Amino acid sequence: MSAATGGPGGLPKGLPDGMPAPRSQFEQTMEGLRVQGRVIHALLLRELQTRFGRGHLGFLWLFLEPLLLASAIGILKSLFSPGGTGAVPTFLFVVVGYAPYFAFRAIINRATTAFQANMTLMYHRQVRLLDIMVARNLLEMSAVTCVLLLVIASTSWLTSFAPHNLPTMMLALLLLFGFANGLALLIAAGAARWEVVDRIVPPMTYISLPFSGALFALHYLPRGWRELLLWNPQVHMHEMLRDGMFGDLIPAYYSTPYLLAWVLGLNLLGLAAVRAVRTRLEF
Amino acid sequence: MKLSPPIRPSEAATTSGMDAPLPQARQRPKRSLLARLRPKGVLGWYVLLVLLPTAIVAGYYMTYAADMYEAEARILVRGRPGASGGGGAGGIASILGGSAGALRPGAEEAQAVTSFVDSLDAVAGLSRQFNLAEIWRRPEADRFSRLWYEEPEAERLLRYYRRRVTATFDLETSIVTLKVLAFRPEDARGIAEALLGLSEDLVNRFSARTSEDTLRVGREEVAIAERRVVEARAALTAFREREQTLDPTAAVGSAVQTIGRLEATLSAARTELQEKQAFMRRDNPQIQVLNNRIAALQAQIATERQRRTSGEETLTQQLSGYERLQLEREFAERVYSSAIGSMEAARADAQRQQVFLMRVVEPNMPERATFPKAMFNTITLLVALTVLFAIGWLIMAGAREHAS
Repeated sequence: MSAATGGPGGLPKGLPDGMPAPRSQFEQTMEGLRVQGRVIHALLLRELQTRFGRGHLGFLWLFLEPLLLASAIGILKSLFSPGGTGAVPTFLFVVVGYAPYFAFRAIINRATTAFQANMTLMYHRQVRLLDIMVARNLLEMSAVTCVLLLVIASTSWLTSFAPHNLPTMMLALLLLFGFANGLALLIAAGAARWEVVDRIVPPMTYISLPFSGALFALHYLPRGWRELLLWNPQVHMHEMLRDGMFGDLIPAYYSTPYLLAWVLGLNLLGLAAVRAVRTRLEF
Repeated sequence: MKLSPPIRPSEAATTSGMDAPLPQARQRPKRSLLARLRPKGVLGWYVLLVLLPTAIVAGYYMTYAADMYEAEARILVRGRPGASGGGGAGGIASILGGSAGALRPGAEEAQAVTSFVDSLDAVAGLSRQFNLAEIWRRPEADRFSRLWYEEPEAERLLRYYRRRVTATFDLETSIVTLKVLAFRPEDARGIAEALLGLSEDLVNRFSARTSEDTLRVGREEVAIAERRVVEARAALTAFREREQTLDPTAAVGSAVQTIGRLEATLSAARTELQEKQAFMRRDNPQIQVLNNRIAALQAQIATERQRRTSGEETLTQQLSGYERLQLEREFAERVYSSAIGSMEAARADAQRQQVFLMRVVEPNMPERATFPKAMFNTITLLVALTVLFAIGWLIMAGAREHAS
């Protein structure tokens, strides 16, 4: 606490003029947050540039990609099993389940290469590992949020099927993003430490799809399965999202405190892990 | 940072007295209380933001928090197996039927019971038996957990009530678990008992309503059929009285027989005439007699025919009227017996659709205060605050690196 010892008036007068005044820790932190915000913003723009380039619809691909994928799966499903989910339109059911999962998978899968791909940026003193991750994750999150907004708005306009409880949906989405962010931090740090992580994470995301509850509602499962699956925090998120979307049309099973505990714990571990590996990567 | 101006005058005063060997040392104790309490370093912040709140909460639980007693009851709402869920509400049930196992009979009523327990109606029902505000404002209750208002409005009371009374429905077992928290064991038990009574009333009302509905239609149909039978019989009796005949069918039969007999006699007479004409003279009196008889018979047949088949009071008309009435009576009787049959079926159905509330676990008298969960809550708070603090510290530290 350097601030406690000297105020603006109590500064020693003998110091040379050229030296910057020692700031209070609070000011320093605020200044740091401002810089970090600018860095993340810049990284976001850079990420857009490098991923999609200037031509060919450019960054529109960002939401076109999940939109097309989710819509394709939704249409296929609603063609093959019409009325399979009762009062809930199959297309909406699939899109609401799959689009967030798509974002989750994209965040996790891209996390493994996040540091390697941006190694050169590390020569800048103000770019830190966390900034890279946050910028990338924000990009995916905003893309999927846009897709969901688009799908929900258009369906509620066309079929007058409005979301049941929007705040619940928002909270679920935020928790999902927090979860993905924490896990991505952990995986990125792990990938920097052990190379195996790079190999096993993408298959794991495919294996975990059936257990994530993204494409089915727990309610249709037998009790034993349901209770087993409820250990998986992802299931809680998707159930919560569906609860916000469909309300009482499908009984939902989730516990917000459990989910919150996972999100907080993962983010703590992720932040700590990224901090732990920075000596290997930062200059 | 903002402490320097007030220091100045004192500094001046002291330096004038002595030759001030260590000004900093003398400034230290004069710093304001707030400044001295400022946390120093990570550990200080940790104490302020995590340990202090935890300690406050733990202190509250240890010294001040009032004990609460929990009474628990379990009920099973069941119908006879085989009864259909029925109604439009079966929509979801039929979907679930495929994979998750169909809703058991009585499941809908059990859900109705849970939503009833959670409602203003239940609070109103309880308020008729207890003074709920008094129960949740016992003198031993502490300021935070008791009901805050002495004369709460219904909605405020309901909000508090929902924190103290929970009913959960288990879809698989159809068991409704009712939990009531109160500051005295007998209060908790009394409320639970009263809630069970109210729920029982509710379920009985359902049953009565269902059987009433099913039987009402049957009863109405039986009454209509009965009236029809009575009317048909009355019409038949009136017809008989009017036409002075017991059975037109039999009358027709006898008329036909009469004509047939007359015709037979006629043909016999004709044969006899032919026979006698062969050997008798025309003016023989026997032939004359025969001729007269034939003429009489023909006349009689003609009048008989006339009487039966034409005119105002003909037998055919009588017969058709009679047959219509007879048919009506038969129909009415058949409808009546089928109405009785369906009424019996409806009665059996109503019997099957009866739902009962069965008490699996009677409300217990709590002996030990199990709430509030002091240890669990305190430790959860400690862990949660620690995690939050750590995340915050990591983010802050990361941000500070950008500023350097």
